[in-house]
Amino acid sequence: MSADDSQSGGSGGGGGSGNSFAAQHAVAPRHALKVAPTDGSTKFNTIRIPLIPVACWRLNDPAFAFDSSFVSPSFKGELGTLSGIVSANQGCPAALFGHCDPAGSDALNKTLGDRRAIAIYALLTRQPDLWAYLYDNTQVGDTWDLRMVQTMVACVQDAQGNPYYAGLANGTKDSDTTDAVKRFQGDSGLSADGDPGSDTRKVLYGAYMDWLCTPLSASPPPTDPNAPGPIGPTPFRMQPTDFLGGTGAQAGDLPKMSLQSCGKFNPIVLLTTGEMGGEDTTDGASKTQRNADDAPNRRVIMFFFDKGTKVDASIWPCPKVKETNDACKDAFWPDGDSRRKNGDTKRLYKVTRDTMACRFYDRFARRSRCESVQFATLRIWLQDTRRQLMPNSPYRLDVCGEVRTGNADTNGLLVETNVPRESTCALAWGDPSNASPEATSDDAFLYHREINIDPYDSDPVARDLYNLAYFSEEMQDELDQFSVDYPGQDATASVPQVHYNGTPKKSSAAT
Amino acid sequence: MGNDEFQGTATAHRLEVGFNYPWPWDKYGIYLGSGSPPGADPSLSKWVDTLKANLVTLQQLGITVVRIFLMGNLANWGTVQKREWNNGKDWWWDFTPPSQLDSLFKDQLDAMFAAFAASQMKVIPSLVDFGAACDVRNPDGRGMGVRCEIWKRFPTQKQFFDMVLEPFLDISMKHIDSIFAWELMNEPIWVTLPPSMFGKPLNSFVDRFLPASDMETFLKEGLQRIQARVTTVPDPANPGTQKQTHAFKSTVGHRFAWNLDQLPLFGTTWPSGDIRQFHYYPSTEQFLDRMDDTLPNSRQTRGAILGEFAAGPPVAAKHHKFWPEIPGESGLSTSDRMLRRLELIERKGYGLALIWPDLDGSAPGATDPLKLSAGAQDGVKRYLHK
Repeated sequence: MSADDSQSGGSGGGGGSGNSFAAQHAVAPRHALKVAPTDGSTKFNTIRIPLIPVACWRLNDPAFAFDSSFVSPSFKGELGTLSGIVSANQGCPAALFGHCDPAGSDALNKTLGDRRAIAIYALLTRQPDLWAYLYDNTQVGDTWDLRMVQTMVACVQDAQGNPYYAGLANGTKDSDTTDAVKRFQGDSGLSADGDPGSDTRKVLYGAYMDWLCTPLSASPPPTDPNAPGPIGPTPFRMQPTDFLGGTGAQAGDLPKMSLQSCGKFNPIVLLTTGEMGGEDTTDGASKTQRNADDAPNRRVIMFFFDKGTKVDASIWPCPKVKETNDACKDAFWPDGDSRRKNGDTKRLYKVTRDTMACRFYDRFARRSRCESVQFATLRIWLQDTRRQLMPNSPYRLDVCGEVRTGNADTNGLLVETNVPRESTCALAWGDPSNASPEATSDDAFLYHREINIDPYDSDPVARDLYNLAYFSEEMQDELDQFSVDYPGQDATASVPQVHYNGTPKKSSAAT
Repeated sequence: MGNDEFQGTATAHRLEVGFNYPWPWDKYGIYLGSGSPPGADPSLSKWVDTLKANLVTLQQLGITVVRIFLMGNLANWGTVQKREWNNGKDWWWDFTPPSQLDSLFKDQLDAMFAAFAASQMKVIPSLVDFGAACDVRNPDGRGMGVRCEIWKRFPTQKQFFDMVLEPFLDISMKHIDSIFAWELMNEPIWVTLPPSMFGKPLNSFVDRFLPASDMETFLKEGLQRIQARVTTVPDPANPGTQKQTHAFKSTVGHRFAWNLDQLPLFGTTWPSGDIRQFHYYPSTEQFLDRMDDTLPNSRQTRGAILGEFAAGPPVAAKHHKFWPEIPGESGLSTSDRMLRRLELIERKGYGLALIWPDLDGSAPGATDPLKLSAGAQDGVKRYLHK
């Protein structure tokens, strides 16, 4: 367990919960390098410094419709997590990775992932021309059309703070749509003909990008633009040079390393073949349930690397966006294709760690709280050494450096929600009369334990016996003693059920 | 996917604190039996009296278990003769076991157990140390081992067990209640590691390297002999009746937690006895130490006891480091450091941990200053009395 993980925004939950998430990564362990002496000419040591992300940001599925790269208005609500993590990692170069769900072909998903990465990169670096490329170059399933225009004019606001359009984004060019476009054009200095042509769209992209990147809490502009009043916050924006491949990047460039697509190579949820609707997954949007279950896979991840990190683009294994994904397979695990294949059982990356095909990306993901660390609710009954519950006991819970303090309830039950799901936590607790919940020093508490809290522990009985302070080598000895201490409890089947289900049970020692 | 949920019960427990004595004064390997050869230095015979005085101090601190090295490097069991060849450039040590065990060993051991009984403390006698494999280094007896035959040659091994272990167990049978566990050997891994694992030659350190399988044979045989001593106790399953059980819990003082399981490079698993035991000294340089960089919890070590951990800052050897799980430990006082280490060990679920002293030994005198600094003693007190 590291003491340096910390969370930055996000309400937790796995992918598909309709939000974004950002986090600092645990500080990677530093190891001394051992090198052999050389003669300075023909012999040398090769040192490969691992590229380790220091922070991450994750944008979940709702920012994109199924099969679409258009950034939906829901992105606006996720801005806080992004601006927070960028602000906390000034000078740390970023890299974007677009991901799709496993339905459809590799090639199709690579393209879709490319387009999503381009859409987000263009949004953050404010490059409307790149969105124009997406609009003008439709792909199967990912068509930017009048619906997108309607969506944008429904969000962008006029001088009075009102959206230009209040109708549906249905792709029908009705009078309301034409009127809205005309008003937008007029306010933007364009010819007000009501036709959302390429020139109008470019301006609209820019306005919509600014709207997306302006915090929800921003004050509306004053009614009279000439009147004195509060000035709204500057919309969030990044520069191409804020990205890993950004050195020397020009407007319109899509630099290698700055953004890329993993397509369907690195899912975090693998449904069963049956849930996917069979081997042929090219049937698109008709599988409503499957598409909903696959939602966690549809995501964009941004990793931030150590300040000053520079990487030679020639050794970066990911192909540029718009290139084929052939090069991806060079970075696969030897069993990469079988890892990412749907099978007889459902697999979750956070549990099995074997769903990603690309070892290069897997290495980033494995340590990242944006990909593999999830959240949990902890409900822990606190007992003293005599196995008596401790009502109102003050506690200090440290999960991977995230510290929670409080008091157990009147039954001695500690409840904490949205804590990082880790295998262990450090827990200190004690007598209510001897410590305050605000206490930060270990001295303030009577008891200290490392508690196993992994809901997916491969041996839950051993986990719970350990938590109950049975430490013998032989599990049978522990179970025998458990039976003595907790008469009437089924030791073999329900060790954890010591205090569950209603009124807490007193142990024999307590009675 | 929503939040995962964990439900469980956390039960508090307290750590029992023990102490490695580990030998009176600086007389490693020769205090028991009073010198080399046995009886050569009668002034050493008062070590039991000095032990008694120190047990009082330890008891006042709240310490309940003491581990002590009995034969150490076997410097006073048999003799060695240097045999040279190649014009003195090469040599080997010719070991000759004694014909019988001097009665001083048994008498003093009996007195030692009695001292523990009188102080109501428990002892972990450790029969032999890896030092018995070490080359001659110090004139005071340290390093004068080179008795690899007890592991390598079956007849010598049998002689050692028959002549030393069995009589010691005979005496121990009179003091069952004072013995926490009977330890066959300390840190056997050091006798079996090939030099390449250290990154430097160890010819000056260990006389010979043994195959892990030889050590496995030694441990199995010795532990079986300890476990063969039985006693009868009431049988709770059948009230009114008695059942036979081991008279002593057996143990081996393994150096690393990973020694408790299959040895990764040797393809074998050494026995650990009834009580699993390992030692914890986080380290910076050696490959093997880094395998135990942080203290595993007692679930990972399946209920092991922590047989040794350092009271002080980087214990003697230069490669040891401060504990990585205690931030800012280097800036702590000795008392605070001791307290934090004990709290960390408690947190990890250990039932018993034994301190390795932070002071060196002394020349024999009327007293044997306890090798635990005042700061460390204060830390123990603060932990045990809070």
